[in-house]
Amino acid sequence: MKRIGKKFKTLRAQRKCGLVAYICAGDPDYETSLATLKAMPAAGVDVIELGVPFLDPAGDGPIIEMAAKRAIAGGMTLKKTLKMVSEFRETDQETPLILMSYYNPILKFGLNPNPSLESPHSSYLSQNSADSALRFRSSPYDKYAVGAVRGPSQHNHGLARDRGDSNDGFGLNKLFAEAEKSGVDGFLIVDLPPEEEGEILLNFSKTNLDLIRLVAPTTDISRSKKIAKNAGGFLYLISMLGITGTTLANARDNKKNLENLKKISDLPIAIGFGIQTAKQVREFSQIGADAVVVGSVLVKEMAEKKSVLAVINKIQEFAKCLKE
Amino acid sequence: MPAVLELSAAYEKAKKDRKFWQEFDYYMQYYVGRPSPLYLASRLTAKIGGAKIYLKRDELNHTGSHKINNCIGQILLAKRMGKKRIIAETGAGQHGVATATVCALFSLPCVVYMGAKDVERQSPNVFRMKLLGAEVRPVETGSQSLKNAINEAMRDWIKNARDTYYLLGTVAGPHPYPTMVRDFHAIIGREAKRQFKKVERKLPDVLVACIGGGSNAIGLFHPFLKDKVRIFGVEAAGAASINAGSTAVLHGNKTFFLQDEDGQIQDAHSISAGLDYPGIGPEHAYLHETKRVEYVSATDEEALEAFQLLCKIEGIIPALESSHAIAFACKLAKKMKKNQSIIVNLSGRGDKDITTVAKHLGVRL
Repeated sequence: MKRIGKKFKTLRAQRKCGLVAYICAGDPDYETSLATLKAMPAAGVDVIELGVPFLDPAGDGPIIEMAAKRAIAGGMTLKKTLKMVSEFRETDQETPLILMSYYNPILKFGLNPNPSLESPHSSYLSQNSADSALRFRSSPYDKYAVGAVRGPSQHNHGLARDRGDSNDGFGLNKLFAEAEKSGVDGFLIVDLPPEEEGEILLNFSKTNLDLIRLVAPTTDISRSKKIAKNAGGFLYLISMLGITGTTLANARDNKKNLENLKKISDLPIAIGFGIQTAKQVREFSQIGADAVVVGSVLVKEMAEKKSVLAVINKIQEFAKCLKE
Repeated sequence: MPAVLELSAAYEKAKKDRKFWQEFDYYMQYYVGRPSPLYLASRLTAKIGGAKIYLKRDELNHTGSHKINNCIGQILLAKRMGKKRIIAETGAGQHGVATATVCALFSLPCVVYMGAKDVERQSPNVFRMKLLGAEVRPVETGSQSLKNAINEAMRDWIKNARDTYYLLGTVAGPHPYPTMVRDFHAIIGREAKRQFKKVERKLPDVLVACIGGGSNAIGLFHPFLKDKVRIFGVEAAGAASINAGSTAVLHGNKTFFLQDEDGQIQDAHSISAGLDYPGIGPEHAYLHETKRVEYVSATDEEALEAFQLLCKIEGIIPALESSHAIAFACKLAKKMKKNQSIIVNLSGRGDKDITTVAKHLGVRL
């Protein structure tokens, strides 16, 4: 049985509410991040949500955005995140771990199986663009336009270019195979709506990975059904309108959404966004969710105290508040 | 997603309603001042010595750029949807000013997100927005420019989706924005086609427009896509999403973005803040792939030169954005025959850019 399913089965059997905890991979650096990861299960984390840093996390608040910025400045990438997971798995085979990512780092990997190959058209450049525009009207270069002058931001990354959507799935296939091998149990892709999930699911079908799905408080029943249809592992119910780590959510307001979601899906339900205090963790664990998610509060602790112990203390404090 | 679906349904409905378009046309004519003239720049043409250069004078619109077309369309939609609050992003401030303007006109509270760097660079536009009653929120995250302003506007929308309308300023973002914004700007191309036919009794040979996200360009191009007309989009060299970017997903659309090999979106660099966006509207990506439109680029220096040329020879101060299109059109015209014609979209006026230009010319104001 898959790790996530097994974990929630155990929690349900014990009539316990679980704790899902988020940290950003590579924040503040690789070693500290890995050490935190390794200490999380013993502190009471049931499911680890490891964030792949992305510079434009529109669904997250400033706390997580700053963490991503620090991690990326330190050289963190999706590939290194997988490496971190495999190192975590050296000491832990039981705790489910999912990657939380925005779509683009995944897509980029998928479209770009071999980043060291230079595109054939990247070398021509012409200042005299109008001239060449007319002369090469029917040349094979037409497709790529004429007179391109590359800006400073492309200079360093020009080798990584690739064009169009000629994705044969090789890259995605490889990414997910590698993720599974590293010990990842699922992906939560924040900005991938169900309308666009086909390619991901196709590649998932060759693995044991679960696609974790978010359900917004404004999502109606028919759309929730659509979302739940191909979801795996657990459903992640967003507890308020807004982004992570800003306003505090209210447990009572979520009872109805939770009940509605339970009616349409048998998947375990974790609830999160805006849960930052021990009191909230206690209240949310009592409204019938299978797990409560905390994230920004841990990232903030790390940003302020730069200490694994501080983060672990915070987790222990939350774990104690969960309903047994 | 529910907010986007709601918007999409509302737009589909409005699109089929003749009254909606009547109202749109009313404001276009009496408030914006359309149709904007199609002007034969005869002195510029003579100086270049090639094809005739016609300027589509969208810089003469109320608020000084094409941006107002879209803002009128979207504010009418927001009103129909019963939304009580408007948010927008802005780079150079043109879209912010246009949004603040229509919010004043329809008495809706308005919040404009603007990168902190842009707030500093574009202080006259910031003050304009404030005069019009809008609240300008500087965005301190990331590179503090347009990309981050869009992130912040989206965050606001996520939080306030029920009563807030996000008035997005370009042909990018999640559906229906790219289609909807195009439809509102297509008035540029429809007018230009009619005006050109009246004078020349034929179709133009070439269209040229500058491209940041691509809204003024698609507005001019769209009514000509099925015609035998060569079309050029001109990117800023340091923000050339098509010529130097690759496929990516950001801000709810899959299109060309400048990005690194790990899929992190890079910052764009251009002398004109309006072209300073690392992505391009998805329809332009499509027109590029199908080879219908040719995408080229112009450097900061070329744009500055064209800016000064148009000032001196035609008495028109063009926006630095539009100056990129003029720069390319001049080069192209030289190689064309005298009986051929180019229409350049003069999408904005350059008063907002004089401090930037002065700085680059080493002049202290």
